[in-house]
Amino acid sequence: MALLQLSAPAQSAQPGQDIAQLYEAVQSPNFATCQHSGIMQLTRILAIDALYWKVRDKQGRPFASHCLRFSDGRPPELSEQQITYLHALPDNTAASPLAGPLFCDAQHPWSFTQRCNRTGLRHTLFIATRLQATQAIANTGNQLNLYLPHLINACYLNLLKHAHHHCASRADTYALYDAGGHCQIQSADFAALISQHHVQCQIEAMVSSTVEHTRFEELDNLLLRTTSLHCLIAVEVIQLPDSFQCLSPREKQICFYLSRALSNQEIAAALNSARKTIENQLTSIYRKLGIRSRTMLLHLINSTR
Amino acid sequence: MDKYANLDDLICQFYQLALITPVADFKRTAFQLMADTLKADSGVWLTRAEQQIPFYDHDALTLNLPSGFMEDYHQLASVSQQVQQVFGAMLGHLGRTRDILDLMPEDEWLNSDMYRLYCEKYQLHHSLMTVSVIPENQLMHIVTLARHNPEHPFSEQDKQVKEFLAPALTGALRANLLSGFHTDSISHGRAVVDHYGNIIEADAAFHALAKANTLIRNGKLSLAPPLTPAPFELNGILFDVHSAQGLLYIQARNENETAMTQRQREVMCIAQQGLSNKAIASTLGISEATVKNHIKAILKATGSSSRQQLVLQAQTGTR
Repeated sequence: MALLQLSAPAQSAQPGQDIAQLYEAVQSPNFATCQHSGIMQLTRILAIDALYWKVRDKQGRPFASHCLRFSDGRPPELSEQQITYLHALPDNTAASPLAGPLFCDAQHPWSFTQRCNRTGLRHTLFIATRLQATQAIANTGNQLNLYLPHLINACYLNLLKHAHHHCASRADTYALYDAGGHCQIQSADFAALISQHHVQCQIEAMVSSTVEHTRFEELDNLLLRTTSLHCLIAVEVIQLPDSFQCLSPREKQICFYLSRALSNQEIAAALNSARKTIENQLTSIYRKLGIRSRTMLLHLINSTR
Repeated sequence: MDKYANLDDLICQFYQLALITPVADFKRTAFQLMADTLKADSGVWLTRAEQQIPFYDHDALTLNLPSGFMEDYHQLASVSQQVQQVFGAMLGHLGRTRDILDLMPEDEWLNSDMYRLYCEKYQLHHSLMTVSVIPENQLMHIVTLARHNPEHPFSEQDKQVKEFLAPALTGALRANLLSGFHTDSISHGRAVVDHYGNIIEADAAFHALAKANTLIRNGKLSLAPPLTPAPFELNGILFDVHSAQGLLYIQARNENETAMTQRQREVMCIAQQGLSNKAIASTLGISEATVKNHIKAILKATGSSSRQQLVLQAQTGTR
């Protein structure tokens, strides 16, 4: 069988490979290094001289650290005035060129804004290049439109990854919902418990009304806690034995934290009360359930699984 | 262009799956997604670290192919020879997606043994191949999708889409292997190796263990290939092996836990039910001081800091 010898593979751009490189940033240990590592990859693909990246949460407040970087190694030289100017610029949902010098002597500034539907974060990137050729400048816009959504997706996945590890390291029954109320991850135990009690709809309603504060909710003999975590919503659930119905809501919440192996001091911090109060409430729990030790209480909570 | 409108979302989905899917399931789930997107009827995804060795069943993830497919490939000498030739030609097009007709004239292809004895038999009328190498771990991926209906060849756009998606597919597999290392809290040394002993990915604990016990020689485990999915011992260290989609996941056994005595296990079992030392002592008919000693040894062996942790560990351990 004679195979045709094709001409040597053209070294044309393979955007798929560049996109895969951008997603390497997902592995970063935190959001700031994820942004940084994403930009390092981006500068490999595009001729970027200066960049300013602002991230705002749903309420329009700055999220984490705004990322600022000059690719030629100069220290950040933006004045207060320049930053104010950047923040006042209107959002462009597709990469579009801006008029006027944005950063010192770097030319051809672009801006790009995208809202990440899953975290609700709004990312705006201001990018300047010192390109001379008109063709290359026109090409930059297309490339930015191609790569930046993936950079922002990589940031979302980085947050999801950390939220997931945070939940998984503490409990077996958890789920993560995005800002739109869609389930992104759920543990097998969570899925089993929720389908057994048919409370899927109630949980979705809870998640979509959760703003920022940690909330407890009781459904049947399930105790759910929703909390905001890395711009996602974490839902944790425990099942309490029927005998626990005599406990007050507050006492049940203490049981929730006990099942997460928290100390009295840590429970006090989580529930925003004094350690002494928690101790008193624990004594009351022991009295109501007719038991004598913390270990026994833990065993009772876990025996329902 | 409409049918390929959401490629960005699909790539994001590959990586999201990589973060949340266990290593045993990821490859099939992601490959199926890609096959569905490209309206392919069947596919083969080979993952391997060495080029010059013939393909084995355990290298291959096949989608919707009859079981005789890999056996035929081994038995028909002229076919496997031609497959190697095609593969060799594809090495000149790393990262690119090619149709077989890009590599040879159609009449020659239709008269070749590979087509007549093999592709026609399994209805692989149209196929797209992509061969790529991941620079970080030198793992080679051969991703092939096929359509069974002779009337529906792949279009130029299908080819471009596959070429666009393939790096995300293989990149996500790497992310999946890496994230598999972080989900469990305590590791005594974990690594992903291929059947020839090449280390694909490994966590820090494994590297420390390998260094202290000279487990690795020339980037390979010092074992005679091919490795099988059975527990093995290397320089005094026991490894559990789990096989998934062409790769082996090896994990060093926790010596402490295996070193626990029968009596200690009994005590642990009862303690995890929430009983006090005194109650355990009367259940087993031993003194309270003995129970205390047992508990101390158990806490050390399991690496837990308190009795309460032991109770919580019981819940995760029994499933």
